[in-house]
Amino acid sequence: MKDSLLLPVIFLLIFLVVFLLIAGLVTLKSWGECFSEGSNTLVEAISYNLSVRLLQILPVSILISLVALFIRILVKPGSRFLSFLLPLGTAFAVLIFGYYFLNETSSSPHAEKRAVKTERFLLPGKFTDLGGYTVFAEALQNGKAANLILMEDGKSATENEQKKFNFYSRIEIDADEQGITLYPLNEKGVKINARPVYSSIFQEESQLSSFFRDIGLLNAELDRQYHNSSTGFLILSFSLLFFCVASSVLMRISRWPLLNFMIGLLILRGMFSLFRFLKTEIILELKKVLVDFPLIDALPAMIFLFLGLVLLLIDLVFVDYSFWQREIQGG
Amino acid sequence: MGKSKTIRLLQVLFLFYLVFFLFCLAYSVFTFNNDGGSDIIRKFAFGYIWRKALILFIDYLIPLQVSGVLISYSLFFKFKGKQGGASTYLPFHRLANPNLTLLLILTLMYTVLLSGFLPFFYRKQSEAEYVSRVALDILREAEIEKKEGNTERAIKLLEIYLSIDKGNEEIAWRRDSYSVEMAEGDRGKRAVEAAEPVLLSRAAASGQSASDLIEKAREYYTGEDYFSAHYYAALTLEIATERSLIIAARRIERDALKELSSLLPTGADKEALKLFLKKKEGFQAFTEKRFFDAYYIFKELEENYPRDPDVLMYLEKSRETLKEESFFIEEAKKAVALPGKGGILFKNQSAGGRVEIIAIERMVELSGDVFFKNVEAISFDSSGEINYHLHASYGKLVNNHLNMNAVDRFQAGKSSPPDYWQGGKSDLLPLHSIKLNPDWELLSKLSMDSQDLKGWNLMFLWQAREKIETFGLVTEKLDIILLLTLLKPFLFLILSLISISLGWSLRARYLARPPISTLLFIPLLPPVVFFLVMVISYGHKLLLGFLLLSLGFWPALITLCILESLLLMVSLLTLAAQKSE
Repeated sequence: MKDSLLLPVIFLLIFLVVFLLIAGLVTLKSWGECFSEGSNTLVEAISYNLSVRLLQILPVSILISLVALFIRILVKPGSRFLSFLLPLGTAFAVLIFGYYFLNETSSSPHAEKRAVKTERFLLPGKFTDLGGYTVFAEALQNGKAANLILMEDGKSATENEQKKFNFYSRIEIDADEQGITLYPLNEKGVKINARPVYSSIFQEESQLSSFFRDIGLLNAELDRQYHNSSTGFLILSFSLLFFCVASSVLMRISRWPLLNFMIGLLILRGMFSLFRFLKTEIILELKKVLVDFPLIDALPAMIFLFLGLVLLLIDLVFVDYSFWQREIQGG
Repeated sequence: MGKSKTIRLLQVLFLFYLVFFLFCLAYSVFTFNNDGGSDIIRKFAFGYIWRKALILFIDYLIPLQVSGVLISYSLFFKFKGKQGGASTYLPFHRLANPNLTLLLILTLMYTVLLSGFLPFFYRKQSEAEYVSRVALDILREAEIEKKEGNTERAIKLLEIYLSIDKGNEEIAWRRDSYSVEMAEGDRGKRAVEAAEPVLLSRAAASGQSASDLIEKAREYYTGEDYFSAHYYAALTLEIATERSLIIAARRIERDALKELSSLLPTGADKEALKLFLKKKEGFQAFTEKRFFDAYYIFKELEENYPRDPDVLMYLEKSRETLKEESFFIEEAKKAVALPGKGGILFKNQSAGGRVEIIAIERMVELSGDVFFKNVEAISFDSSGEINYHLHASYGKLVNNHLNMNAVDRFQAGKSSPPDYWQGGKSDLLPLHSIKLNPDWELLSKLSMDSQDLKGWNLMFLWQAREKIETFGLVTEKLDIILLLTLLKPFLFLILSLISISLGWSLRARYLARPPISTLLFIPLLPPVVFFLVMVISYGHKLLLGFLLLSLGFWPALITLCILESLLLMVSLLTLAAQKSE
């Protein structure tokens, strides 16, 4: 009983550590991407949209913390009822209030659009690789470049083809979050979608990109629901957390603890993939058939809720709750 | 007993490695055609598939190793055996200790694979792709030439193809049939052989005999014009066949050099001294056949001393000599079909504040000669004025100059200069040659092609990072690759050690061997471990990237060493903290 009552506190501690760790790493990435803009803009760049960035890591931090908490529940199970309810309730409260608080902060009047400097994408005197182009600018100042060469990647200059190097002695450059636009004199502007000059240093492996993309999709859906329908947001948040807490049964499913542990991690990763699959594959297909069906957007939440219930049923009927004592501690 | 535990871990790991390698091999075979394999010529296909499998294997070795250790310690390290009818457990330290040495050896092997073999395999893959592409282009060109009726040209191209894809009977047969076809045609058209350019010596070309030249050399020597005397003596030596003339020319050449070395202008005229020393430097370059250097020295002198006869004469002679510094397109074409370095792009700072940007599609070294393919260069000054903008299909490195003055063997020595888009008459490019600041070894490192970077080993990365910045490349991109390559062996060892602890603490407590149904779940583990390893590596990458940009390479490297030492210590502590049954 005492062990179960302590679970919210332990959850909050774990969440704090996980949240701060992820926030720190995300801030390092943002810092690196703005590094070339100069130290004055660096602090500004980090603090800019901080609450939005924190909002994006909130759901994933909660889910990771829950999985970490399952290990504690395994070791010290306490009351079955409370060990299910308390983590679920705490995680739900943190998600809802966290969302509310961070959304309020991000929509404050101070959160204006920040000007992006050209130096984020170009370095004077250096070749910089910008999605499909390589650019060399001898000098850069206040959105203007002197002696700039634009090179199209993969194109090799041959006598019959166009030149690889396009030279502009003076050129104006506009920069925004997505990249730069070059405005040569008397010519049409060239828009280049680019990543910051040092972004490759902080670039994740392609296998992780899909995970981040799935997290992004879930965040976008939560954000959409939060702004469009509070009920929808509450149902989606609850169903996700309910499924996650119910899946703790898988940590006790076999007599091989390592396998159970790995299944727990797989569920954590699988949740995001399942959500993406439902959102991008199933709902899109269903929308073609069930046009104007009002509950179609709530389908992922319903499915998570249903799967959670199935897992809960399996837990109550088939799986021994004192797994750890029996298997590990020999109790 | 220790030995048997080591063997047991080795058995599990070996099984894991084997199964995974077979999986990689099967994957490489089945994805060969979808993954650009259709563009690989038959000769390279087998090696290409094997190397792809090996690359995949090395790339995923950390999660594989971690999975193997985890499974070994959670499933197979329990029983000492039956004693008195009951199973007894071994103490943990007796299970773990013998394998620590094994893990160290495996880490060393992994380091060798990672820093030596992996870049080598990547390089070979990229070479196979490139050479196949070139070979197929040649084949296509040969077909076009044949359709246009240029059978001889088509045969030549097929021969070039066969020099790449030796033993391709189909192409050899095609070449032979073209040859037979041509032999049956008009034999009078075989005049192409006569079109072989005959490079005459400079003296013979000017139509002077050896005795005329030695006379001139004597005249200049008597007139104390030692520069000219030496020059004519050297020309005599090039064409003279009579022994007496050769001896006389050698003597004049030697005496002229001696005089020049001892000669110093009298008086306190500093200007004259400066002129003399510079002339001597240019003369020395000329006699050592460094004609580009000689040209530049005399060109510079001409600007300040436009009436000096020695300067004018040697400038002209250097220019004339350089005209002959050409190479055959065919020779270059054949060379660039071989493996080399690609995607070279750099800033070549030249004199007078001018900047040259040079892009080279391919650089190949062949028997001491260095050839280039598809060179584009642009030069501009700080005011934005373009001095020249050119493209050359082929180039050759001569005295650290990029020479683009090619000659077509098939068209009676016809010169093929670069295509000047702008500034063709610029005097900045004497005879279509650009003086290169980086030497040829450094040139091969001036590439930021991500595919090419994978083929760089640790030493290559290390050498490149120190020098590339002055040529306009972003060093930090190399630095992070270097740091991450150094990180991987640490991760291999640390995660293996942690896996022992984790596997042991999460081991199956069956009384008997684990059921077969459990073993069916084993393939589930490596993907999860792979995902975890990715997350851990990415966390490291973010931290190292931050340290690199904020503090620089060395502090980042030192922090990496300290951090990994700490993690190693923690992993050893987790081992020590494990309990026996």
